Amino acid sequence: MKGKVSLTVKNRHITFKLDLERNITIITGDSGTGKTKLINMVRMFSWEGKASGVTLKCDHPCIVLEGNSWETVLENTHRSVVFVEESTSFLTSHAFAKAIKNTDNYYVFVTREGLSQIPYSVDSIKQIVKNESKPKIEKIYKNISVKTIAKFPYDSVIVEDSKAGFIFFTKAAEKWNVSCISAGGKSNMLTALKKSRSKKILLIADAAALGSEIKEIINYKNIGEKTIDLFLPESFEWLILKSDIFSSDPSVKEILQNPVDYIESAEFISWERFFTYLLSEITKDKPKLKYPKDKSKLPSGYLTEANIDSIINAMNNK
Amino acid sequence: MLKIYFGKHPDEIYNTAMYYANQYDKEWIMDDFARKIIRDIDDSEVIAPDVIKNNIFGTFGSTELSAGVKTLLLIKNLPNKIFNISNCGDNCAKYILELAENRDIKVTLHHFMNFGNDFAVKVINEGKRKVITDPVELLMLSHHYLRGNDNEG
Repeated sequence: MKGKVSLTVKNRHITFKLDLERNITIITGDSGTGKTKLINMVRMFSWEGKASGVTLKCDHPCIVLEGNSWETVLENTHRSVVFVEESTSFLTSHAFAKAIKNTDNYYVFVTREGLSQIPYSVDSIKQIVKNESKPKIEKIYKNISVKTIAKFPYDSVIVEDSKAGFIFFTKAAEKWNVSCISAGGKSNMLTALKKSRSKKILLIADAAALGSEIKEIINYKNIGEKTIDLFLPESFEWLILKSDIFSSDPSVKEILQNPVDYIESAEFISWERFFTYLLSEITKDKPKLKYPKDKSKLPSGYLTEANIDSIINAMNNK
Repeated sequence: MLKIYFGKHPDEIYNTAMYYANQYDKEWIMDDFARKIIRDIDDSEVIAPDVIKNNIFGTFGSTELSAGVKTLLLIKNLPNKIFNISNCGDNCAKYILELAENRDIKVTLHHFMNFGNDFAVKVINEGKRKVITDPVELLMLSHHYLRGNDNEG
Protein backbone atom coordinates (compact mmCIF):
# COMPACT_ATOMS: atom_id res chain seq x y z
CA MET A 1 0.00 0.00 0.00
CA LYS A 2 1.24 3.50 -0.71
CA GLY A 3 -0.12 7.02 -0.73
CA LYS A 4 -1.73 9.13 1.95
CA VAL A 5 -4.69 7.48 3.69
CA SER A 6 -7.29 9.64 5.40
CA LEU A 7 -9.94 8.36 7.72
CA THR A 8 -12.83 9.87 9.63
CA VAL A 9 -14.49 7.97 12.47
CA LYS A 10 -17.53 9.46 14.14
CA ASN A 11 -20.55 8.78 16.27
CA ARG A 12 -23.20 11.06 17.73
CA HIS A 13 -20.78 12.50 20.24
CA ILE A 14 -17.31 12.70 18.75
CA THR A 15 -15.42 12.84 15.45
CA PHE A 16 -11.83 11.75 14.90
CA LYS A 17 -9.92 12.63 11.72
CA LEU A 18 -6.63 10.92 11.06
CA ASP A 19 -4.23 11.27 8.15
CA LEU A 20 -1.72 8.47 7.65
CA GLU A 21 1.32 9.53 5.65
CA ARG A 22 3.43 6.46 6.35
CA ASN A 23 2.90 2.75 6.87
CA ILE A 24 3.35 3.05 10.64
CA THR A 25 1.70 5.66 12.88
CA ILE A 26 1.94 5.80 16.65
CA ILE A 27 -0.73 7.47 18.78
CA THR A 28 0.54 8.20 22.26
CA GLY A 29 0.43 10.89 24.93
CA ASP A 30 -1.59 11.79 27.99
CA SER A 31 -4.41 9.77 29.47
CA GLY A 32 -7.98 10.88 28.89
CA THR A 33 -7.52 12.21 25.37
CA GLY A 34 -9.66 9.58 23.61
CA LYS A 35 -7.22 6.98 22.29
CA THR A 36 -9.28 4.05 23.59
CA LYS A 37 -12.46 5.72 22.37
CA LEU A 38 -11.02 5.91 18.85
CA ILE A 39 -10.02 2.22 18.90
CA ASN A 40 -13.41 1.17 20.28
CA MET A 41 -15.22 3.01 17.50
CA VAL A 42 -13.03 1.40 14.82
CA ARG A 43 -13.66 -2.00 16.42
CA MET A 44 -17.44 -1.50 16.55
CA PHE A 45 -17.55 -0.42 12.91
CA SER A 46 -15.43 -3.39 11.82
CA TRP A 47 -17.89 -5.73 13.59
CA GLU A 48 -21.21 -4.25 12.62
CA GLY A 49 -20.59 -1.61 9.94
CA LYS A 50 -23.05 1.29 9.90
CA ALA A 51 -25.41 -0.71 12.13
CA SER A 52 -22.94 -0.07 14.95
CA GLY A 53 -23.91 3.60 14.96
CA VAL A 54 -20.35 4.49 14.03
CA THR A 55 -19.55 6.08 10.69
CA LEU A 56 -16.13 5.33 9.30
CA LYS A 57 -14.94 6.84 6.06
CA CYS A 58 -11.75 5.46 4.59
CA ASP A 59 -10.71 4.06 1.21
CA HIS A 60 -9.41 0.94 2.94
CA PRO A 61 -10.90 -1.51 5.45
CA CYS A 62 -10.01 -0.71 9.07
CA ILE A 63 -9.63 -3.41 11.73
CA VAL A 64 -8.42 -3.72 15.31
CA LEU A 65 -5.92 -6.56 15.58
CA GLU A 66 -6.23 -8.39 18.91
CA GLY A 67 -6.56 -11.78 20.56
CA ASN A 68 -4.57 -14.98 20.32
CA SER A 69 -5.23 -15.58 16.64
CA TRP A 70 -3.66 -12.29 15.55
CA GLU A 71 -1.10 -14.02 13.32
CA THR A 72 -3.77 -15.78 11.27
CA VAL A 73 -5.86 -12.62 11.02
CA LEU A 74 -2.82 -10.62 9.91
CA GLU A 75 -1.88 -13.18 7.26
CA ASN A 76 -5.32 -12.69 5.72
CA THR A 77 -5.42 -8.91 5.98
CA HIS A 78 -4.35 -6.87 2.98
CA ARG A 79 -4.46 -3.24 1.90
CA SER A 80 -6.09 -2.37 5.21
CA VAL A 81 -5.50 -0.02 8.11
CA VAL A 82 -4.67 -2.18 11.12
CA PHE A 83 -5.06 -0.67 14.59
CA VAL A 84 -3.46 -2.22 17.67
CA GLU A 85 -4.54 -1.05 21.09
CA GLU A 86 -2.48 -0.15 24.13
CA SER A 87 -1.72 -3.14 26.38
CA THR A 88 -1.98 -5.67 23.58
CA SER A 89 0.85 -7.91 24.66
CA PHE A 90 1.98 -9.05 21.17
CA LEU A 91 2.61 -5.45 20.09
CA THR A 92 6.06 -5.37 21.65
CA SER A 93 7.05 -8.87 20.55
CA HIS A 94 9.71 -9.68 17.97
CA ALA A 95 7.20 -12.05 16.33
CA PHE A 96 4.87 -9.14 15.64
CA ALA A 97 7.67 -6.92 14.32
CA LYS A 98 8.62 -9.73 11.94
CA ALA A 99 5.01 -10.37 10.91
CA ILE A 100 4.30 -6.79 9.81
CA LYS A 101 7.50 -6.47 7.80
CA ASN A 102 6.81 -6.28 4.07
CA THR A 103 3.04 -6.39 4.45
CA ASP A 104 0.77 -4.25 2.31
CA ASN A 105 -1.14 -2.69 5.23
CA TYR A 106 -0.79 0.56 7.12
CA TYR A 107 -0.59 0.29 10.92
CA VAL A 108 -1.75 2.51 13.77
CA PHE A 109 -0.34 1.57 17.16
CA VAL A 110 -1.76 3.11 20.31
CA THR A 111 1.07 2.80 22.78
CA ARG A 112 3.55 4.60 25.00
CA GLU A 113 6.13 1.86 24.75
CA GLY A 114 9.11 2.41 22.48
CA LEU A 115 8.86 -0.27 19.80
CA SER A 116 12.59 -0.51 19.19
CA GLN A 117 12.26 -3.57 16.95
CA ILE A 118 10.08 -1.63 14.49
CA PRO A 119 11.60 1.23 12.45
CA TYR A 120 9.16 4.12 12.63
CA SER A 121 9.60 7.81 12.06
CA VAL A 122 9.74 10.65 14.54
CA ASP A 123 7.27 12.29 12.17
CA SER A 124 4.69 9.55 12.57
CA ILE A 125 4.29 9.91 16.35
CA LYS A 126 1.02 11.67 17.10
CA GLN A 127 -1.15 12.64 20.03
CA ILE A 128 -4.82 13.43 20.41
CA VAL A 129 -5.39 16.99 21.54
CA LYS A 130 -8.70 17.55 23.33
CA ASN A 131 -11.04 19.87 21.45
CA GLU A 132 -14.60 19.20 22.65
CA SER A 133 -16.36 16.88 20.17
CA LYS A 134 -13.69 17.27 17.49
CA PRO A 135 -10.34 16.30 18.99
CA LYS A 136 -7.30 16.94 16.83
CA ILE A 137 -4.68 14.33 16.05
CA GLU A 138 -1.35 16.13 15.73
CA LYS A 139 2.31 15.34 15.34
CA ILE A 140 4.14 15.53 18.67
CA TYR A 141 7.63 16.31 17.41
CA LYS A 142 7.62 19.38 15.20
CA ASN A 143 10.65 21.51 14.28
CA ILE A 144 13.01 19.58 16.54
CA SER A 145 15.84 19.43 13.99
CA VAL A 146 18.26 22.19 13.11
CA LYS A 147 18.19 22.91 9.37
CA THR A 148 21.85 23.53 8.79
CA ILE A 149 25.04 22.46 10.50
CA ALA A 150 27.47 24.47 8.38
CA LYS A 151 30.62 25.47 10.31
CA PHE A 152 29.83 22.89 13.02
CA PRO A 153 29.60 25.21 16.06
CA TYR A 154 29.87 22.25 18.47
CA ASP A 155 32.41 20.63 20.81
CA SER A 156 31.62 17.22 19.35
CA VAL A 157 29.33 15.35 17.00
CA ILE A 158 27.62 12.04 17.73
CA VAL A 159 26.38 10.12 14.70
CA GLU A 160 23.92 7.24 15.10
CA ASP A 161 25.36 5.54 12.04
CA SER A 162 28.65 3.67 11.98
CA LYS A 163 28.91 3.27 8.22
CA ALA A 164 28.62 5.68 5.26
CA GLY A 165 26.94 8.45 7.24
CA PHE A 166 29.62 8.34 9.90
CA ILE A 167 32.37 8.48 7.26
CA PHE A 168 30.72 11.53 5.72
CA PHE A 169 30.08 13.53 8.88
CA THR A 170 33.56 12.74 10.23
CA LYS A 171 35.06 14.25 7.08
CA ALA A 172 32.67 17.23 7.14
CA ALA A 173 33.39 18.06 10.79
CA GLU A 174 37.15 17.60 10.36
CA LYS A 175 37.38 20.91 8.49
CA TRP A 176 36.15 22.69 11.63
CA ASN A 177 38.34 20.65 14.00
CA VAL A 178 35.32 19.03 15.59
CA SER A 179 35.57 15.38 16.63
CA CYS A 180 32.92 12.95 15.47
CA ILE A 181 32.01 9.67 17.18
CA SER A 182 29.64 6.91 16.19
CA ALA A 183 27.01 5.80 18.69
CA GLY A 184 26.90 2.45 16.90
CA GLY A 185 23.13 2.33 16.52
CA LYS A 186 20.03 4.20 17.63
CA SER A 187 19.67 2.39 20.96
CA ASN A 188 23.13 3.57 22.01
CA MET A 189 22.62 7.28 21.39
CA LEU A 190 21.38 8.19 24.85
CA THR A 191 24.33 6.45 26.48
CA ALA A 192 26.72 8.20 24.07
CA LEU A 193 25.18 11.58 24.94
CA LYS A 194 25.47 10.91 28.67
CA LYS A 195 29.06 9.68 28.40
CA SER A 196 30.26 12.59 26.29
CA ARG A 197 32.38 15.11 28.15
CA SER A 198 31.50 17.81 25.64
CA LYS A 199 29.17 20.59 26.66
CA LYS A 200 27.81 21.44 23.23
CA ILE A 201 26.88 18.43 21.16
CA LEU A 202 25.35 17.81 17.76
CA LEU A 203 23.42 14.54 17.48
CA ILE A 204 22.86 13.26 13.94
CA ALA A 205 20.37 10.47 13.24
CA ASP A 206 17.83 9.26 10.68
CA ALA A 207 14.41 10.64 11.63
CA ALA A 208 12.78 7.90 9.54
CA ALA A 209 13.70 5.21 12.07
CA LEU A 210 14.26 7.14 15.29
CA GLY A 211 10.68 7.00 16.62
CA SER A 212 11.34 4.51 19.41
CA GLU A 213 14.13 6.62 20.90
CA ILE A 214 12.95 10.18 20.47
CA LYS A 215 11.05 10.67 23.74
CA GLU A 216 14.09 9.72 25.81
CA ILE A 217 16.42 11.89 23.72
CA ILE A 218 14.13 14.93 23.93
CA ASN A 219 13.77 14.42 27.68
CA TYR A 220 17.53 14.26 28.13
CA LYS A 221 17.94 17.37 25.99
CA ASN A 222 15.31 19.22 28.05
CA ILE A 223 16.89 18.28 31.37
CA GLY A 224 19.75 20.47 30.19
CA GLU A 225 22.93 18.82 31.43
CA LYS A 226 24.43 19.74 28.07
CA THR A 227 23.47 21.84 25.08
CA ILE A 228 22.30 19.42 22.43
CA ASP A 229 21.23 20.18 18.88
CA LEU A 230 19.54 17.49 16.81
CA PHE A 231 20.15 17.15 13.08
CA LEU A 232 17.50 14.72 11.88
CA PRO A 233 17.18 14.34 8.12
CA GLU A 234 14.82 11.56 6.98
CA SER A 235 17.99 9.57 6.44
CA PHE A 236 21.54 10.19 5.28
CA GLU A 237 20.63 8.89 1.83
CA TRP A 238 17.61 11.24 1.69
CA LEU A 239 19.95 14.13 2.51
CA ILE A 240 22.25 13.16 -0.37
CA LEU A 241 19.32 12.86 -2.77
CA LYS A 242 18.05 16.27 -1.69
CA SER A 243 21.43 17.91 -2.26
CA ASP A 244 22.47 19.81 -5.38
CA ILE A 245 24.31 16.69 -6.57
CA PHE A 246 20.99 15.34 -7.85
CA SER A 247 19.14 18.60 -8.44
CA SER A 248 19.17 18.05 -12.19
CA ASP A 249 17.31 14.74 -11.88
CA PRO A 250 13.58 15.55 -12.18
CA SER A 251 12.45 12.09 -11.09
CA VAL A 252 14.35 12.38 -7.79
CA LYS A 253 12.88 15.80 -7.15
CA GLU A 254 9.39 14.50 -7.82
CA ILE A 255 9.80 11.58 -5.43
CA LEU A 256 11.22 13.79 -2.68
CA GLN A 257 8.30 16.18 -2.95
CA ASN A 258 5.84 13.44 -2.10
CA PRO A 259 7.58 10.23 -0.97
CA VAL A 260 4.37 8.67 0.35
CA ASP A 261 3.10 8.26 -3.22
CA TYR A 262 6.14 6.22 -4.21
CA ILE A 263 7.02 4.08 -1.20
CA GLU A 264 5.24 0.73 -1.25
CA SER A 265 4.90 -0.59 2.30
CA ALA A 266 5.08 -4.20 1.11
CA GLU A 267 8.60 -3.53 -0.18
CA PHE A 268 9.96 -1.05 2.34
CA ILE A 269 9.23 -1.17 6.07
CA SER A 270 10.69 2.35 6.43
CA TRP A 271 11.39 5.35 4.24
CA GLU A 272 15.05 5.10 5.21
CA ARG A 273 15.31 1.75 3.39
CA PHE A 274 13.55 3.14 0.34
CA PHE A 275 15.94 6.10 0.04
CA THR A 276 18.94 3.77 0.39
CA TYR A 277 17.52 1.66 -2.45
CA LEU A 278 16.79 4.73 -4.58
CA LEU A 279 20.26 6.22 -4.12
CA SER A 280 21.98 2.95 -4.94
CA GLU A 281 19.79 2.50 -8.04
CA ILE A 282 20.37 5.94 -9.56
CA THR A 283 24.13 5.85 -8.92
CA LYS A 284 24.86 2.32 -10.09
CA ASP A 285 26.37 3.60 -13.34
CA LYS A 286 28.26 6.49 -11.75
CA PRO A 287 31.61 5.12 -10.52
CA LYS A 288 32.45 8.02 -8.18
CA LEU A 289 28.99 8.10 -6.67
CA LYS A 290 28.02 4.41 -6.75
CA TYR A 291 26.32 3.97 -3.39
CA PRO A 292 26.48 0.49 -1.84
CA LYS A 293 23.15 -0.93 -0.63
CA ASP A 294 24.81 -2.14 2.57
CA LYS A 295 26.17 1.40 3.18
CA SER A 296 29.52 -0.10 4.10
CA LYS A 297 31.55 2.44 2.14
CA LEU A 298 31.15 5.99 0.95
CA PRO A 299 32.40 6.65 -2.60
CA SER A 300 34.91 9.46 -2.95
CA GLY A 301 32.53 11.55 -5.07
CA TYR A 302 30.55 12.49 -1.96
CA LEU A 303 33.65 13.70 -0.12
CA THR A 304 34.72 16.57 -2.33
CA GLU A 305 34.50 19.95 -0.60
CA ALA A 306 31.70 21.14 -2.91
CA ASN A 307 29.62 18.02 -2.41
CA ILE A 308 30.12 18.01 1.36
CA ASP A 309 28.80 21.59 1.48
CA SER A 310 25.95 20.66 -0.81
CA ILE A 311 24.87 17.70 1.35
CA ILE A 312 25.29 19.56 4.64
CA ASN A 313 23.00 22.33 3.42
CA ALA A 314 20.46 20.10 1.68
CA MET A 315 17.84 20.32 4.45
CA ASN A 316 17.23 23.91 3.33
CA ASN A 317 16.62 22.93 -0.29
CA LYS A 318 13.05 23.11 -1.52
CA MET B 1 7.56 5.04 48.20
CA LEU B 2 6.97 4.16 44.56
CA LYS B 3 8.90 1.03 43.58
CA ILE B 4 9.34 0.71 39.84
CA TYR B 5 10.20 -2.47 38.01
CA PHE B 6 11.18 -1.69 34.42
CA GLY B 7 9.96 -4.28 31.89
CA LYS B 8 8.01 -7.48 32.22
CA HIS B 9 7.36 -8.90 35.67
CA PRO B 10 5.86 -12.36 36.18
CA ASP B 11 3.21 -11.06 38.58
CA GLU B 12 2.26 -7.86 36.80
CA ILE B 13 -1.19 -7.01 35.51
CA TYR B 14 -0.25 -5.72 32.08
CA ASN B 15 -3.66 -4.91 30.64
CA THR B 16 -5.11 -2.84 33.45
CA ALA B 17 -8.26 -1.82 31.56
CA MET B 18 -9.24 -5.47 31.13
CA TYR B 19 -8.52 -6.19 34.80
CA TYR B 20 -10.54 -3.15 35.85
CA ALA B 21 -13.54 -4.25 33.77
CA ASN B 22 -13.62 -7.55 35.63
CA GLN B 23 -12.71 -6.45 39.14
CA TYR B 24 -13.86 -2.86 39.73
CA ASP B 25 -16.07 -1.84 42.59
CA LYS B 26 -18.65 0.81 41.76
CA GLU B 27 -17.83 2.64 45.00
CA TRP B 28 -14.19 3.22 43.96
CA ILE B 29 -15.05 6.42 42.13
CA MET B 30 -16.80 8.01 45.12
CA ASP B 31 -13.87 9.24 47.23
CA ASP B 32 -12.10 12.60 46.93
CA PHE B 33 -9.03 11.19 45.16
CA ALA B 34 -11.15 9.47 42.51
CA ARG B 35 -13.27 12.58 41.94
CA LYS B 36 -10.12 14.68 41.60
CA ILE B 37 -8.42 12.48 38.99
CA ILE B 38 -11.63 11.93 37.03
CA ARG B 39 -12.13 15.69 36.87
CA ASP B 40 -8.53 16.49 35.96
CA ILE B 41 -7.66 13.65 33.56
CA ASP B 42 -11.03 12.75 32.03
CA ASP B 43 -12.78 16.15 32.30
CA SER B 44 -15.71 14.42 33.95
CA GLU B 45 -17.73 14.60 37.17
CA VAL B 46 -18.75 11.73 39.41
CA ILE B 47 -22.52 11.72 39.91
CA ALA B 48 -23.14 8.48 41.80
CA PRO B 49 -21.61 4.99 42.15
CA ASP B 50 -20.70 3.93 38.59
CA VAL B 51 -22.27 7.07 37.12
CA ILE B 52 -20.00 9.71 35.60
CA LYS B 53 -20.90 12.64 33.41
CA ASN B 54 -19.17 14.91 30.95
CA ASN B 55 -20.14 17.51 28.40
CA ILE B 56 -19.45 15.39 25.33
CA PHE B 57 -20.65 11.91 26.19
CA GLY B 58 -23.33 12.60 28.77
CA THR B 59 -23.46 9.95 31.52
CA PHE B 60 -21.40 6.79 31.38
CA GLY B 61 -20.15 3.97 33.59
CA SER B 62 -16.71 3.67 35.10
CA THR B 63 -15.51 1.08 32.56
CA GLU B 64 -15.57 3.98 30.06
CA LEU B 65 -12.99 5.96 32.04
CA SER B 66 -9.55 6.38 30.52
CA ALA B 67 -7.02 3.58 31.00
CA GLY B 68 -4.89 5.99 33.04
CA VAL B 69 -7.68 6.74 35.54
CA LYS B 70 -8.61 3.05 35.78
CA THR B 71 -5.00 2.18 36.55
CA LEU B 72 -4.82 4.84 39.27
CA LEU B 73 -8.05 3.52 40.82
CA LEU B 74 -6.68 -0.03 40.76
CA ILE B 75 -3.41 1.05 42.42
CA LYS B 76 -5.33 2.91 45.13
CA ASN B 77 -7.82 0.15 45.88
CA LEU B 78 -5.74 -2.98 45.30
CA PRO B 79 -2.33 -1.93 46.65
CA ASN B 80 -0.95 -5.46 46.86
CA LYS B 81 -1.19 -6.05 43.13
CA ILE B 82 1.47 -5.00 40.62
CA PHE B 83 -0.06 -2.86 37.87
CA ASN B 84 1.51 -1.71 34.62
CA ILE B 85 1.65 2.09 34.73
CA SER B 86 2.51 2.32 31.04
CA ASN B 87 -1.26 2.52 30.73
CA CYS B 88 -0.89 5.97 32.26
CA GLY B 89 0.18 9.13 30.46
CA ASP B 90 2.58 11.64 31.95
CA ASN B 91 -0.47 13.53 33.24
CA CYS B 92 -1.00 10.65 35.71
CA ALA B 93 2.56 10.76 37.08
CA LYS B 94 1.87 13.21 39.92
CA TYR B 95 -1.08 11.10 41.09
CA ILE B 96 0.98 7.91 41.09
CA LEU B 97 3.51 9.69 43.30
CA GLU B 98 0.70 10.97 45.52
CA LEU B 99 -0.64 7.44 46.02
CA ALA B 100 2.87 6.33 47.00
CA GLU B 101 3.44 9.13 49.51
CA ASN B 102 2.40 7.20 52.58
CA ARG B 103 2.74 3.61 51.51
CA ASP B 104 4.84 1.36 49.32
CA ILE B 105 3.46 0.74 45.86
CA LYS B 106 5.08 -1.65 43.41
CA VAL B 107 4.43 -1.08 39.71
CA THR B 108 5.85 -2.10 36.35
CA LEU B 109 6.81 0.43 33.71
CA HIS B 110 7.48 -0.31 30.05
CA HIS B 111 8.36 3.16 28.81
CA PHE B 112 10.05 6.29 30.08
CA MET B 113 7.55 8.23 32.19
CA ASN B 114 8.27 11.85 32.93
CA PHE B 115 7.88 12.36 36.71
CA GLY B 116 9.16 15.94 36.50
CA ASN B 117 12.10 17.11 38.59
CA ASP B 118 10.77 16.62 42.11
CA PHE B 119 10.30 12.95 42.92
CA ALA B 120 11.75 10.04 44.86
CA VAL B 121 11.29 6.48 43.60
CA LYS B 122 13.07 3.15 43.88
CA VAL B 123 14.01 1.11 40.84
CA ILE B 124 13.82 -2.52 41.94
CA ASN B 125 15.16 -4.44 38.94
CA GLU B 126 17.96 -6.83 39.97
CA GLY B 127 16.97 -6.40 43.60
CA LYS B 128 18.40 -2.89 43.80
CA ARG B 129 16.80 -0.62 46.36
CA LYS B 130 18.52 2.72 45.85
CA VAL B 131 16.31 5.81 46.04
CA ILE B 132 16.38 7.78 42.79
CA THR B 133 15.68 11.52 42.81
CA ASP B 134 17.67 12.57 39.76
CA PRO B 135 15.67 12.69 36.46
CA VAL B 136 18.79 11.84 34.44
CA GLU B 137 19.53 8.78 36.58
CA LEU B 138 15.94 7.58 36.22
CA LEU B 139 16.06 8.15 32.46
CA MET B 140 19.30 6.19 32.12
CA LEU B 141 17.97 3.31 34.26
CA SER B 142 14.79 3.20 32.20
CA HIS B 143 16.88 3.12 29.04
CA HIS B 144 19.15 0.41 30.43
CA TYR B 145 16.38 -1.96 31.45
CA LEU B 146 13.99 -1.37 28.54
CA ARG B 147 16.49 -1.45 25.69
CA GLY B 148 18.15 -4.77 26.46
CA ASN B 149 18.61 -7.03 23.45
CA ASP B 150 16.13 -9.61 24.69
CA ASN B 151 13.56 -7.20 25.97
CA GLU B 152 10.13 -7.51 24.42
CA GLY B 153 8.50 -4.77 26.39
